[in-house]
Amino acid sequence: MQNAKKLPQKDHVTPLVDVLESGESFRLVADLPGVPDEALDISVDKRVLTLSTVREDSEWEYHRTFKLPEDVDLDGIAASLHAGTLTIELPKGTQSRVRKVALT
Amino acid sequence: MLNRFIELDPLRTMDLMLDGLFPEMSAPQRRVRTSRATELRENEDQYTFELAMPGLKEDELDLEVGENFLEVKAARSLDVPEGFELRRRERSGFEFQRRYQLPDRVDVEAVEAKLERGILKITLPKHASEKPRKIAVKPAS
Repeated sequence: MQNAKKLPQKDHVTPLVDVLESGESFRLVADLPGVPDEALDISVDKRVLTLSTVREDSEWEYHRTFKLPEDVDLDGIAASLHAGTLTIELPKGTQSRVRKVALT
Repeated sequence: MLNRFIELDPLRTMDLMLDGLFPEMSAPQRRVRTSRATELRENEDQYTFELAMPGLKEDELDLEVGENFLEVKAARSLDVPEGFELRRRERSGFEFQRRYQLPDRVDVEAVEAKLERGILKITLPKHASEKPRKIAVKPAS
């Protein structure tokens, strides 16, 4: 009888996140104590932001997704992790920033 | 020296963090008997305190140590940065205050505390006299 090697399923923990808004941006603030920079994974796909931690040495992972508002400038998203707190800055795109396609 | 005990219920944030945070240590650990608290552990050589306190600044932390006690006081308040409005608050500020009686004497001078990535870790090495000593048997002459 073969013992199939399967990866242990990691428990998902939902981090608590505050949402703030200013005239220029949205800001997400989450507590992620003990998470090193390299374990943090933030990705955006079709206006869905996914926050997760990937750790070899842990039996659980943080995981949470957010649907981003239409006015978020996806190119300007920035994140920083300090003292166990993650801050994600989501700038609002300016209304007047319309991409002009030049005619050649 | 604070003489009164202030028991605080673990806040929701703490519970969430504690659920996932179990310090892995190489030496066998014995859990010190405290009410519901798992943040203080003990082995032959030392006591270890470990608790998640994300966003805590060093001046929001107050530690006191004696030969037979450890007292930890921490308070984090959440503020809304200027220019921002709060749309949703899930995190909470917290206050933590606990005094631990330590049955074995600790070497106060050797106590170390560090706040790293939002986790407070304190190691309290036991006094040499508290550690078991191996007695060498001298060979018969």
